[in-house]
Amino acid sequence: MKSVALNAIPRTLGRRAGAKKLRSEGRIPAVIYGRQAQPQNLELNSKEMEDLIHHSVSENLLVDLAVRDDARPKRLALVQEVQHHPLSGKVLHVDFHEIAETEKVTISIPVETLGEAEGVKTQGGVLEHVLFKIKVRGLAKDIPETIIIDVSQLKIGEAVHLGEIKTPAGVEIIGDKNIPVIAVAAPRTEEEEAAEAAEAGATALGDVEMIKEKKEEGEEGATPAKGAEKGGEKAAAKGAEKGAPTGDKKGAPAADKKAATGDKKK
Amino acid sequence: MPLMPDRVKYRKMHRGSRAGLATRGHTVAFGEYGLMALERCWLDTKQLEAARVAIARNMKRHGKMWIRVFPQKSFTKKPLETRMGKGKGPLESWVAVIRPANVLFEVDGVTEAVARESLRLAATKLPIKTRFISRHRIR
Repeated sequence: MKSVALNAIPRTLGRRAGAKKLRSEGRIPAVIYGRQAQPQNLELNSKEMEDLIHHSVSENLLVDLAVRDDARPKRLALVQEVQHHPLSGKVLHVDFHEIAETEKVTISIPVETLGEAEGVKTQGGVLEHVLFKIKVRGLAKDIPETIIIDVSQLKIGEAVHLGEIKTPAGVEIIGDKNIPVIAVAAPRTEEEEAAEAAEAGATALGDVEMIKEKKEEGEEGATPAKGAEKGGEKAAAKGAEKGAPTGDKKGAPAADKKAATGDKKK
Repeated sequence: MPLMPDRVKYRKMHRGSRAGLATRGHTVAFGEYGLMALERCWLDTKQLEAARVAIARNMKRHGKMWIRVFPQKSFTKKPLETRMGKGKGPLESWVAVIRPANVLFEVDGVTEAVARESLRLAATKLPIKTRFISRHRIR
């Protein structure tokens, strides 16, 4: 991972109102922390930061941070977290994790596929990404931006596991080696889809079991069959009660009206 | 099976609030592409099912689809020409409370063009404005 230059200014505005004011002026609140120094609040130029993120493969960035009026001219840091606005996607806040060049770090890097799987191409299978990110450990400069996996040989039912992925020297993958990362699954058959569609119309909206009713049944009778019968009777009676008045109400006024209009006409 | 809960503690619910933006379920989590809501609404089982069918038909059994919202909430309606009072009305439907930024559907295992068209067709079945989003394209 190559480091990129980024400028920052120490931040004095704090809290919610301060952060809002910064954002309205085209700047982003940020923070830098690490083992070597005390945490420091910073502000960045939003355009500079968004360009940086936009032109990179992922949000895993290694930056040479030049903080104004700082004793050290450049501070090597990893972008630990980028907070986005949920709707607009604008960057709201950035966390920088200061590291030493000789320090090993653990980060999650994205997985990308190369080629079209044989199982997808010829057999109509579905390529499944089980893991989108893999946790790796190593020196920041050695860690790649993405891990590219060649899937062109994969057939239906086959998978690439964590243990099969090759990494650059000095970088190790963290996690169980038997976990699949990318797999090719069999396609869904027409019968499965037809069965699903048939089920769709089977249940009515009101057929929802109530937890409370079930508890009461359990308390009332020791034998579950007896309770179930009671519950069923109750529900039936309730339904009949509910159905009858509404039906009468609906029917009665309409009939009265018709009769009245008929009389008038006569 | 229509989308609705198997078991509930109480069948009839309060209407609740739909204010604010979605603070959870606003990123593409399972697939490669997704459909994000830009407005707030109640999506009922019929609308969700119509959108699901639209996606499934366009993808022609290729790829995979996820429905990221579930109609947990019931709503009731009084029958027509009924006087007020006499208790809460009968159950009308089950709905999912949708806030802006909620990801509604996700697809994977298809090309971007197919995913875009499938989600566009799904969006036509929904009563709100939506946006096509991608995992790789950082917004």
